[in-house]
Amino acid sequence: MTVTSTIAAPPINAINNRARASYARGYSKTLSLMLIAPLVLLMGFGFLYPVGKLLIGSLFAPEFGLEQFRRLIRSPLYLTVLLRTFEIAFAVTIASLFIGYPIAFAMAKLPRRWAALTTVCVLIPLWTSTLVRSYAWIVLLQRKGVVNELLLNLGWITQPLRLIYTEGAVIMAMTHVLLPYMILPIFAAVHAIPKELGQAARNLGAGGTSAFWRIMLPLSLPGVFAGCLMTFILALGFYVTPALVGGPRTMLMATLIGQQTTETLDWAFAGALSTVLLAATLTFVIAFRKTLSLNRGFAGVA
Amino acid sequence: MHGEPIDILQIEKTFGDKSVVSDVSLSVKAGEFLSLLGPSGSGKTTLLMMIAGFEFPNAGQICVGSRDITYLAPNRRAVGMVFQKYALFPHMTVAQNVAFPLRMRSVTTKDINRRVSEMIDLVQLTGFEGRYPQQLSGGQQQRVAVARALIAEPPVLLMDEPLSALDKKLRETMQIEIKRIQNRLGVTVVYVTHDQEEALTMSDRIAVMSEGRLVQVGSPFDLYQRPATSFVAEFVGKMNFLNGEYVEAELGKCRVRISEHATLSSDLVADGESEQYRLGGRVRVAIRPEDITITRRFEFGHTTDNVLRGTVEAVIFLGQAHIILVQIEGQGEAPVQVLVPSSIGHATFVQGETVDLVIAPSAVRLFPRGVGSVQ
Ligand SMILES: Nc1ncnc2c1ncn2[C@@H]1O[C@H](COP(=O)(O)OP(=O)(O)OP(=O)(O)O)[C@@H](O)[C@H]1O
Ligand SMILES: [Mg+2]
Repeated sequence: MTVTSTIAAPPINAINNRARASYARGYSKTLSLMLIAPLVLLMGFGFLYPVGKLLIGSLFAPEFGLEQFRRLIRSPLYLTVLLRTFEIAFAVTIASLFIGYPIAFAMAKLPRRWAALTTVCVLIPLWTSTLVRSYAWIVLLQRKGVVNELLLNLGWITQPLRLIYTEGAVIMAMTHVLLPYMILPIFAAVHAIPKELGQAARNLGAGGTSAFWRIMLPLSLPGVFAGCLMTFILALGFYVTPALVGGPRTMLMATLIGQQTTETLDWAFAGALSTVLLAATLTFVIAFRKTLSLNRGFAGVA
Repeated sequence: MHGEPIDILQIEKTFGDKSVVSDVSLSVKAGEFLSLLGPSGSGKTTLLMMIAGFEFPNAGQICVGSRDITYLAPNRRAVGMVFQKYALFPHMTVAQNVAFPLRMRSVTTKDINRRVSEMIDLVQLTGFEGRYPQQLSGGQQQRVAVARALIAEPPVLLMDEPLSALDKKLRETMQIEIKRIQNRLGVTVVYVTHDQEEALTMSDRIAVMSEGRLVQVGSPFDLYQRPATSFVAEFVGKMNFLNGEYVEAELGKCRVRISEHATLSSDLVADGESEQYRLGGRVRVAIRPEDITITRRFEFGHTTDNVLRGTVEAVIFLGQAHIILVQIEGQGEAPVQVLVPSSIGHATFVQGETVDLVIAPSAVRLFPRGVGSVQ
């Protein structure tokens, strides 16, 4: 625009500028609020309110104080359950990572037809109900289940093994259920790495293995972290699978909380347990993020 | 560092049943700067990928120096490569990126540090060692890519449109920069581009590709002055094309009728070449814009040999020159472009003016119609 037109017609210019400025910002404030309002309301009524009530309830029974929390600390049982919950969530995360990474990597690197097939295999479990998948594990692992039958028939064992209701069974079943949550973020990260980076590494003298360790793996780490975090958090609060496959001897926090609300109807204590689980989870997440943000190299990648 | 020659022998490459590179043979001398020039989809990248080892030919052989590298793994080829989008490692600093090839070759840390700082100095990036690629401008990233490709001293460097992401000004700076580094190190360069100007200014030789085949290989001057086919004539530099009728041949000269009252004679037809034209046959006449002398018309109705009459359609100012578009009488073709230096005192022309275009026989090239033509 020339100088003369600016001087001759300042209002038009001003209008133009304003239009451009609001365009750059996107939507107006009112519109944005209207757009997010349903979500905020849903979060407020469906999540924050009941959870808040549960948490606060734990502080007012029988009267205001930390009685419920003291109860929690007094009994070693509850701490054992908390500790076991973290242990199992950790084991599930590690197992998912080691099984999931190669699958995710293959999904991103295989020729298109094979990649599509693998993706379907990964996603089908996600579309099936967790309940169904957990029962599938019971069918496999129970005393007269498929695995025991097979081993007996092969003559490798003489007595049925105790497979179900063990920690191992819980870890295995949870890993199976949560695996897609590990695979998908890693797949997304590997898929987003430009093909040229791998080629450049090879061209610059790296063999296939060192190209992987030095280029592909570091660049896929954001996906690995996202997958681990998601799997870990989901595992911490997992209810159905441990309840079905684990039995009473491998009780986890979620099952314990469920018992308090449905069987003993001790809502105050359930609130205290929930508070502890939530606090532990948040602490873990924050610590995790802190560690990552301290690592400068990943700031550039993520 | 010494460049090594590249010998490409009868390379064929197909994807599925689509032939992408067919029967390409090409020798690049040690230390030579060779450009692969061609339109999009002509197979330049594919040829480069076969030299780098990311694609394998269906037939043929590729040698660097005396080694046959046709089926060698990419990391064993000692062939450097600069990718179109640079392919810098985003999680490594400039220094780490440049050091990467040396780390892969178990060079001692002391040597690595020395060579990295030498290299960074050569590409004039001192002070940027600690930055990450995304903190650099396009031109700086380009320099890092060149430094990284050259630090392990490969005898051959491949570049796939390395400047296409840069703006014109920076591109020209980087062209000079790349030539400077190449002269300094003596490395053999194969440089892919579809920018013919870039190819003309940078190359020792240019190989023109079309539809997977080599059309012509020669010095920039050769290609510009003696294009082998009308495809090359059209692709390299600016060229005017006219329809003509082959009317006469005598003593190495031949005459082409352009319109009812205009003929052009050409002495660029080589011995034996004239056999492909028959009297009365249609030919394409090619003339460079700078080979035409334009004058105002004073005498009406007068025709002489090698003068085309026309009307000025438009005058385009380019800075150092004008392009004058002239519609030739009796020709349905696009207007002829005439290049006139825009120095002071030169006559200017106005739209609608009638003009004569004088064309020397030494500037008139003939090509057969149909075969090898793009249109
Ligand atoms: N992996 C592949 N699979 C199938 N066809 C391919 C593949 N790579 C390239 N082609 C085809 O081969 C032809 C040549 O491609 P190439 O990339 O070599 O062209 P180019 O000369 O580099 O073009 P540009 O100037 O656009 O980069 C194109 O028609 C392309 O579609
Ligand atoms: Mg290309």
